[in-house]
Amino acid sequence: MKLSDVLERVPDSLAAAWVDARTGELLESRCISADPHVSFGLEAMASILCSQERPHRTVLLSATHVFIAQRPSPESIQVLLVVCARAANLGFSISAVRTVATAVESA
Amino acid sequence: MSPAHDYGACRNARPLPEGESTVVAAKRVLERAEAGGSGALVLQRKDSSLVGAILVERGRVCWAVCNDCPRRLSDMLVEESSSLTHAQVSEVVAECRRTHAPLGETLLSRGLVTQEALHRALLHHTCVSLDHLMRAESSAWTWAPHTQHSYSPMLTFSATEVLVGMSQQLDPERSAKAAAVLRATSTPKLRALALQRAAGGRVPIAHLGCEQLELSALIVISRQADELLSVASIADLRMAVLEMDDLSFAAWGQDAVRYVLLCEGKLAFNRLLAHVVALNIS
Repeated sequence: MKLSDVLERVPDSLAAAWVDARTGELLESRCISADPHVSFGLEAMASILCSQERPHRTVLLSATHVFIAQRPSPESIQVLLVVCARAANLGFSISAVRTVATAVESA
Repeated sequence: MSPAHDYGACRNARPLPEGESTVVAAKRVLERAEAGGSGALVLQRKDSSLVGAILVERGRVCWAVCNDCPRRLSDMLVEESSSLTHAQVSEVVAECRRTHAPLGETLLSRGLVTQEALHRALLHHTCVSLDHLMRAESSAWTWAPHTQHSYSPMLTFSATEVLVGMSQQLDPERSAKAAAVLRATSTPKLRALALQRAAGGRVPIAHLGCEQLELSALIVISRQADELLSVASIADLRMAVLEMDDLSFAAWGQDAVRYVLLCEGKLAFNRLLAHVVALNIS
């Protein structure tokens, strides 16, 4: 699935990326926001994803944005990272990221 | 545990490395115990004489003793239980020496103390002894495993309880402030933890419902919270929520303290996320 499709499917999304969870390297990214917090936040979050504990899902909340990292499966090396505007339907965005990541894994 | 605390003078005390608290030192020593194992962490001087020991069963601290510590468990038991006298404690101690019965269980079975008072006194004594052990001039710690289990799990303590107890004794005001934040942000279905940065690592200073939290889990949570919030200034972050195998937790920072809410079970992540969004922490 292309990152442009991810951005279409996830409500309020502003940026998406695939990250190598072993190194924290951004493998591919797409950003449709000019807000520097989005691009800086995307890179910063990527850098902390290579932790020992390999969390399934991580959500970072700022006043204006939500940064969502979803591992498609416990064994996945790549993690899907999506930045959304912080809106009322936060849960819907998080759920959509999970659905998209799972669909990519099973494809 | 009473907030006011008297350590008493520690004989042969040595200064700790600059800035290092006895709580950080105790955390390091407790890490030497075999995970989930039973045995004693023993501290000896260079001449092989015994300074003290920490007794551990199934990964939980039963008690600690330091020969340099002037505060006695019997004093603390009498302080915690208004109806108990020194004479009664001495009589039970003498009997336990004869029969090799555990002191705590014997006091309880005779109805001389309540379980709560005994728990408080044991924890207080363990924390004071640990503080003295960490300051004692000594050679090295060794781990001596054993297979006997004689302590009731109700009267043993997780590393988290012990480290929080030590923090409370060292700085009751700071711990009380952190505990107030935890009470204001947690719910009865969540567990909560406050971690303070100290030289050599973070230490727990307050908790709600974390009596069973093992040291290994405490270290993982502390490290994860630090990693997640390390980017806080870059992205103007307020809160991190994370889902691991069987545990979800939320973390945020305030006044050099990391606050953590823990939730387990089905839909833990969703419940925790809904809770922290409603908290609207700035």
